[in-house]
Amino acid sequence: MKKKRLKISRLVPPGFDYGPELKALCWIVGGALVLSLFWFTDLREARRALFDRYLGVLRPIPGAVMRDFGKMVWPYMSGFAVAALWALSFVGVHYQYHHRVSKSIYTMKRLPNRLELHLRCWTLPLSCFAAILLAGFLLLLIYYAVYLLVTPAENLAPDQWKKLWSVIL
Amino acid sequence: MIELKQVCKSYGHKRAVKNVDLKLPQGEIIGLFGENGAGKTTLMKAILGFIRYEGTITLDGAPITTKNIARISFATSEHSFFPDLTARGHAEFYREHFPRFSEKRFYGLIEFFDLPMGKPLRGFSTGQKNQFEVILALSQGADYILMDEPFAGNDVFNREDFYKVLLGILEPHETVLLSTHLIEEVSGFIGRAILIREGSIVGDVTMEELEEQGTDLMTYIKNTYHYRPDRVSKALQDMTGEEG
Amino acid sequence: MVSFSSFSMEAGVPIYLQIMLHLKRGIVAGTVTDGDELPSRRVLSSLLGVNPNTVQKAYRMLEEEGLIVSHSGAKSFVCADDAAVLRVRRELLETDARGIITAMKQMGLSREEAKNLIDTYWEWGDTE
Repeated sequence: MKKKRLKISRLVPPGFDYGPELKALCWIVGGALVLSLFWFTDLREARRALFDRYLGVLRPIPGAVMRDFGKMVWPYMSGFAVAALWALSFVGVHYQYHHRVSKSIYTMKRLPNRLELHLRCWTLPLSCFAAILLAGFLLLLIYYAVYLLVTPAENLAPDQWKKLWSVIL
Repeated sequence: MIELKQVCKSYGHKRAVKNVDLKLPQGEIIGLFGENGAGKTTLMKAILGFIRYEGTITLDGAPITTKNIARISFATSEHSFFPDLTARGHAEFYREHFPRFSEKRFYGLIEFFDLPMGKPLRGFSTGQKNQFEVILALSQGADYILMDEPFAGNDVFNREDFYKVLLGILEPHETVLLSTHLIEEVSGFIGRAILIREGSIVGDVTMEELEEQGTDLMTYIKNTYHYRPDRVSKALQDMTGEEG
Repeated sequence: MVSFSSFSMEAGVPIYLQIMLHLKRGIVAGTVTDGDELPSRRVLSSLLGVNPNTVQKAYRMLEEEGLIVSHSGAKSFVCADDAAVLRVRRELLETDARGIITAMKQMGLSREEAKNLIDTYWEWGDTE
């Protein structure tokens, strides 16, 4: 049996041009990514604060503790939260679309398939929302790996991962 | 048959529809007449389940749900097509959602009215939009076709064309409920007239009954609404201050 | 095919009667003959701009009078042998005559005056 091809146009309001919506979202996600990169400057400074320079030689400061990963990274990841919420706001745009120019909401409301309207309003925004959150999370994992890599074990405060969650939630 | 029993609908304190009992059998062309705000649109929206109401509305004895809603179609002057979809796009959408969608009728009517196939609906003229709206309702494969002021903005020749096409394509099982203020234009071909005033049915008569009574629709409507021909001259007298 | 191009609606007269009368006049005038096909219910309804059920009623009553036959519910044909033509002719004449007499009585004409009037106008229109 031939598999039915899933087209994006079937998952948005009929005739809705989702191009600008996705394009704008790409820009926001791109911006969020760029913003997150600035975290490395913080990371560098935090690492530098673990050492002092004595007669031109770097030496570890005894008892110095690396700044917490969560507190440091979180402000730089907020772009992804904004992007995700932005994506979710498309739900409202999609419902509103059925009231613009005509009242196509009447047609959607009298379809034998009652889910069609909601399917076409929620699918794309929700997928984008989830995709952005996932991307942000993967990036977070990568940054965490970098954090662990550059931080000497003796300067690492315990429970970094747990602390990260307390910052997020 | 669509049957309404004691249907009521209020918006806030205002009662839009009051205790409406109505039977709409298959195979009739019915005119629904009344002033603006009399409850014509509310009645249709209740049948389609767009609004909550008191009372019962059934289709062949069963409540109107997703199982039988495809048997009713709807054309409205507010338009219910998708503005960014082309005529072809609409055909695809309707074919997918309404199993009895008639492509033959759809494309036949599109051709008759000479409507563009590949242009999004928002680019149509008002007259074309109305035509398309009605074409969709007629092509859905419904047994009951509800039309709410579908010709607002069409010129008279256009409407005449439409009436003739309508009469020429309707199958004996199809019912049309046509709400309009163009009473005289449709009085020649409707089989029954329903009069609604302030949310209540005040008149319900078949053309055959009117013929037997030796009267016509306009007279019937004027009598039902207690229209007083002397009203105009009386008003003029009052305004000009002349004693009668 | 029976033509309805000369059909014009008269206000105040039931439409199904007008459709029946159109066919009967055609039969008497010889423009409609035995075996002619009638337009379908839908086509005639569209052509005249009248309710399909009205056309249906006219066809049904014509069928009852034996002037048309319908084959398997679809196509209808005129069924008018010589006897039927004569019968319809007499019926129309009677109806028209009654109409004229009623009108003349309403105008207050006496029987003698009416006869004279008919004599006067008998040749009117022959020369045209």
